[in-house]
Amino acid sequence: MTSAAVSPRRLSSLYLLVVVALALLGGGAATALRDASSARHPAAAIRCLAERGIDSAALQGVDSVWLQTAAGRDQVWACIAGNARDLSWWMLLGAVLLPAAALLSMIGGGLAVRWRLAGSAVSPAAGAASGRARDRFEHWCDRLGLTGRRRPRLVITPPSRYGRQAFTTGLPFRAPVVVVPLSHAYLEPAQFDVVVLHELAHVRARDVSWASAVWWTGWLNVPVLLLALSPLVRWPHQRSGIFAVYLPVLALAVVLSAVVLGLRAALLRRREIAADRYALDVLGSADALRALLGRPASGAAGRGRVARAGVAGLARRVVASTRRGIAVHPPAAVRADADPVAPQRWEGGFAVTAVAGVLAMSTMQSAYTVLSATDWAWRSGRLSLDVAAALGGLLWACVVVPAWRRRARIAAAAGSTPSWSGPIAGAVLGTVAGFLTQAPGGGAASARGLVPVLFAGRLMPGVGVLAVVTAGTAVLTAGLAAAVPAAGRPERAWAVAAAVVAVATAWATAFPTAIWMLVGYLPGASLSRVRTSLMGAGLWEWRWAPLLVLAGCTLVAWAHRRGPDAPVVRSRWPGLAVIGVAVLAGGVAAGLTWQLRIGAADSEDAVFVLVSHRSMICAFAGWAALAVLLFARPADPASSSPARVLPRVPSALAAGFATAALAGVVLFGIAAAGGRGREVDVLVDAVRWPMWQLLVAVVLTLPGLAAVAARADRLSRRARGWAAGPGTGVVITAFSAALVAGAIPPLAVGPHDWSDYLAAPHAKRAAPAVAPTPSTPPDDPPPGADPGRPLDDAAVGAALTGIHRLLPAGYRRLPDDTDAAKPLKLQPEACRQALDRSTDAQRARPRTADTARRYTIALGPHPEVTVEVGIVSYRTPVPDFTLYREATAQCGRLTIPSRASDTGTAEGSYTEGPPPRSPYPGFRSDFTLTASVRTLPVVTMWLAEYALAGHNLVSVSITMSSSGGPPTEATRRDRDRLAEALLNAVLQRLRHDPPR
Amino acid sequence: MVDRAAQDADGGHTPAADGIATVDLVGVARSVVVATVPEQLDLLTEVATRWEAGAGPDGPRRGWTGGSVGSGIEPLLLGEVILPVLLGASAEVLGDAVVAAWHSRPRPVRRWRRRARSGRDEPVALPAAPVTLDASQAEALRSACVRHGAALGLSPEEATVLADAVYGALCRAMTEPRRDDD
Repeated sequence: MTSAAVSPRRLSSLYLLVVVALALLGGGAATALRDASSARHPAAAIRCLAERGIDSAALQGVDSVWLQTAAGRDQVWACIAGNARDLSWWMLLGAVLLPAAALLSMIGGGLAVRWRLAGSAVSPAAGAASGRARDRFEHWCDRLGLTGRRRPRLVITPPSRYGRQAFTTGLPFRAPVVVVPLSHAYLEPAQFDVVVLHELAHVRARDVSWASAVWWTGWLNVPVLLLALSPLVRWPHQRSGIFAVYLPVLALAVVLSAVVLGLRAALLRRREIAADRYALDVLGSADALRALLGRPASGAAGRGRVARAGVAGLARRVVASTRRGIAVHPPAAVRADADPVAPQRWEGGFAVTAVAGVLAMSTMQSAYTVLSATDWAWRSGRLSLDVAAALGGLLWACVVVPAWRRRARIAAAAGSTPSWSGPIAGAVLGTVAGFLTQAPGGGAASARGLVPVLFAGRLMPGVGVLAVVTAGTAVLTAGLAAAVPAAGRPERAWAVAAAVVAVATAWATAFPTAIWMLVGYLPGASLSRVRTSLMGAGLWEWRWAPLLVLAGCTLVAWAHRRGPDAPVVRSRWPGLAVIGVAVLAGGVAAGLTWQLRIGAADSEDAVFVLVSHRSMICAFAGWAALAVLLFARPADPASSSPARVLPRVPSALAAGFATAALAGVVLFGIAAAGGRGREVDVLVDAVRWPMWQLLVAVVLTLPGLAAVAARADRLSRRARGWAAGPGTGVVITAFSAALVAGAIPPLAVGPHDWSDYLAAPHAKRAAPAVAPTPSTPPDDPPPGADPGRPLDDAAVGAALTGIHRLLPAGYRRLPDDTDAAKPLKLQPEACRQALDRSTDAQRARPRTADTARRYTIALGPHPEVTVEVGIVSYRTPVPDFTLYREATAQCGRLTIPSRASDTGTAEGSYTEGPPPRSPYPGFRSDFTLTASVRTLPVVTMWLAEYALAGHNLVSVSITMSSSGGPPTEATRRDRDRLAEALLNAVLQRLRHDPPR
Repeated sequence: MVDRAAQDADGGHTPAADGIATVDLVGVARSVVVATVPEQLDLLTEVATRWEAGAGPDGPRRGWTGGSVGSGIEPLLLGEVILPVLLGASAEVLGDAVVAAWHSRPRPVRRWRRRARSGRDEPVALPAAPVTLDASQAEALRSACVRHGAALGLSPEEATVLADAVYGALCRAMTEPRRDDD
């Protein structure tokens, strides 16, 4: 037997994931409860916005005019602050309560177990076997140094009293209890020792309470969410609408529960294996454990059974996989030491990384929601997202760096190379999934993520950019993790901390940058805005991020060089030569481009171009040094395998960042020698800006660089160090020349980028949401024209052609509505009959053409307004609007069944309004419906204007809905003007088109 | 008579003419344990007593309330599984009435009540489970023991050894002369 000095490894990072998952799900469920139980705050916010003429739905888009200016933001914030704070508090409460519920369940479970154990234990004097077992147990407790509150109590239970397994139960601040069935006392002593040491391993790992709390994880989510949504039963009329809204939320909750159950099971399996390993380490032999576990089932035999039938075999495979996935104990073969490192490989594999990605991104989105409820966050705009991203990045780094470090160590210990494709794929998939979804019930009662709502209709570019950024961050993480030295080295703790800081910083800057770039790019597809934002982000937001990454990479690279598997380096001169050449070439080229052109710079645009050019050259010098050093394979033959490229990443990154910074210093020196910018802050910016641009370039290009370097490692056996230095200088010089000559326009800042960037918000603010169209009655028809003539479909289509020019910018054509209108079951009966008569009369009248065009436009603050313009040409002239007037006379007040309404009905009116101004007989009707949707008034207004020109009935209708109250007077005026303009425009076309 | 057979350390039995015997299953189990793993006799006694008290082979489920996670190791000892194997096999061969009759018979005072009365632990007598069977049924019981043993988690080899031991005890019961102290 060996000494039991080393405690079993703790699984803190995995427990952290479980707690975060619980907190996120709790926050989502609490938000769902808030939305389901009362719409007071959201309704008040929407009403307030409606009173100010702001449609709440319009605020969700990235191009909302209301969020472009400080004054607009203040108006919006004045309305939504109460709701945002209420939402924030609910989320925080849920994030605390659900983990607390799991904790209480653990305590309740522990108390229940102790209560059931009370009085049922086998008496210490009951038999010789139980006495021997007690002695043996005490012996191991003494030997392992378990004293005081950490010394567990042994309870021997009668056969089958609590199943046939030994277990440990714990309560906070109480000594744990190890429960062993009596039958275990009759085992061989070595086998009994295995069981006891397994349980004592849990005691020494101090995770008994954790594991007990984790037991409930996964089972709580869906019931808690259903409970939170239960107040919705108050609205039975809306069940179909509620079902449609919350079905994706529930489906997501089920999926996440399955994921969390899988994670929980894997965590518990990992914990059991750690306990087994501890027992084996103490005993020094696996024989007793193997004897206890028995012979594992033959894999071949098992597969043979599974593969014998088609559907049945598939079903059996699914069931077997599911059972394996949620089993809390690993298979006997794994436990019996058949594959000692399999569990640790799993820890850094696809599944755990994907879950970490999901949770990190969900943490960012949930924290963003919570933090946005504060005044300072709302006014500062980006700060809440930056802080939220820092939390997400820390979670990611704290979980993934240790797990990937172990993955790399295990492979190194086995003399093999770890495969990183699975973990990196897991990172990309998990992060994108976490970006697209949110904690079930959270936010806007939707399964979609909070940030993607900003990209409504333009999601794919966002997903693509997120995937690229994740891949870059993941390769950076893998490089840092792979270079951390093995356990036992004094530098290891420093290196792990440095790697975590560097990775968290990269994560926390990369994703908000990507999101803000998308926010800037998507509304106008403006690359210039992206370039300018990218340049400025490093100066205004993440000033110290590159320095943190540099510090982290430097520390990790230093620890790696002192570690046992450091590469054999014959001489450091080639590397230093590359850095030196890059610094000089980049710094001098940047300084010359500045110094030679600054005299002719006569505008802010020109200065901005020069500043960006010089910092880009310095950043490129750093990137070139990084690339060359990444490609420089050490002389160690063992490092010829492709995966050995990754440990070179930290040193290459450190060299790259240092090169960019030093090139900035050279640039500053040249500029200062020319008499410009001798202040310290100019020097700081000259250093910091290239480093920021290098960080952006690293995130975007590192996966490709690493892949090519790995390929080059395979192909080339000899490093050509002599060519590296001069080659680097040539490449940097060529890049500088190309940049100055304007040969790389997509990357280089354009001559008007700065002024475009400054002007963009003002331009947007100046653009009205709808261009008010003057309503001009048709002029006199030309001789021979007859607008009242019968028309065919072609003539009607021609009359409607070009009508969209009167619509505000951003209109969309909708498909033609070919469905016949369904009869409405409205009340009173006289109103319904009058409308039926009118409809039947129209349908019965023979016609030569009937065409309508439908569009959706933004009108004022309302983003979705439907406009329909149509012409019906009858065989006989239409006499008047008698039937319409009869209907409006009967429908002064009416009710319509509405499944969305709290009461099951919507109330409204159908009235006649002043006729449109036109030389032809006209008619106008206003149909207004008001429904209470979960106490929030929703008003739908339908304006219809008609004009009769002989055989032809021209119609224009505009439909708009508004939450919180009716649209503002100004919006209604715009609507009326647009309707009249469209009507007269069509009439004008009819008057001027010659008869066919 | 049956009670006396239950106390017989050699597997209490009541032989009859033409190969039919009335045996006590608990006695058979006891004889098998004594012959193979005598140190587990106490365990068998505990198991039989718990059965007598009405507990099933698996006892109440542990763990659904959380609070603990088991070791996942379930060692199988002869003294623990032989009684469930024997009763299950007998039910298969002779019908469920055997087990039902055993469970529904008049029971002695519960153990905890006895303890409460006496205030101290006392040696507990094994309960009796008499069944009557002939030679062919003994063969069938042997095969059934293999199946039930495997179902309870024994390997085929272990289940066969157990079944052979049971069969041997049954054969002895059928062939040895009756010992009647009355």
